Amino acid sequence: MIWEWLHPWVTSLGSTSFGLWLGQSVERIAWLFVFHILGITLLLGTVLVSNLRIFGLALKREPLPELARDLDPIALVGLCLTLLSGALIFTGGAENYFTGWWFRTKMILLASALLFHFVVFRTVIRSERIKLHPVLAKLSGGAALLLWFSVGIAGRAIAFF
Amino acid sequence: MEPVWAWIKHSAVSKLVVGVPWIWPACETLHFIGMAMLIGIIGVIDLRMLGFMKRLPFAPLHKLLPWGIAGFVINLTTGALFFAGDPYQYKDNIAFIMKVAFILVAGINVLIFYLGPYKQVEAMGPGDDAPTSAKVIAATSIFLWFGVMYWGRMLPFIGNAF
Repeated sequence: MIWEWLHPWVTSLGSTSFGLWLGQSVERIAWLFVFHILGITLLLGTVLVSNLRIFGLALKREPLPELARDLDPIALVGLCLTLLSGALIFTGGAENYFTGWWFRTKMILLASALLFHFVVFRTVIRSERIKLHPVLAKLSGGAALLLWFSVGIAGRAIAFF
Repeated sequence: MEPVWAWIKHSAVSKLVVGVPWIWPACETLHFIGMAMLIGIIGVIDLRMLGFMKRLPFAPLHKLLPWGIAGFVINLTTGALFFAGDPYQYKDNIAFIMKVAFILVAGINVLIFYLGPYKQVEAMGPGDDAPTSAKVIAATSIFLWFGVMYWGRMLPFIGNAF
């Protein structure tokens, strides 16, 4: 399995002096958590706004491709913030996170969400021809929203179970 | 205040929240969803006032607000359930007190917005710049909601609550 193959790398990442330094201070990790959720709200907020538009619940007079382009920088800043802070949080407790079931579930969901977001969702909502495919927009919007919130909820579960 | 905390602690709601094992995580999940709705929507509206996404007129963005308010209601409800579950964990917790204070100040900030530059802002069309007072309010709003998330996230670290 991929997890076994990755394990030695994760172990050495966690035991680098940087990893140990990160994990040493609760305060440092707490600040990273704050930036992690800030990034999440930016990303999920924009996906939510896109979906409200796709389902005709808001911003009806704004063409979707233009709205999508307006929201894109916010989504990307949010995503970068989340991934970067997440990577640092992981480095500070690599071994513990890596062996957890919820963490692994979250990573699988994250990979799916990222792939779907950039290959399908972002392409569909930015497409000028989307008026021809309102069903496609609804399906990909709904799926993106569901996937991203699942990542968040699995993340929340790491702390619980 | 002690009788109040004791009354909350011994209420049926409190027993339900801590007694049924899935309720707390379910509320945390809803609290997370509500946060994304509230701060996501407010963030988009604030960023427009600060000059991002200038191509969008303000009025249709402002119509997103009910979704943000829905998020706030979800979080107020689930937050109240956490508090009911274990009031002693929160009542003297500095992170909790600061979180509530930041929410109250954010509320005052919203009032100032609607009593002040709101009408001018509502009329903003594509490419229009918000008045300085609205920009200050938007920046304050982002700071305050970031603060709410900060104190919320600090609950387990500063005051040992969860």
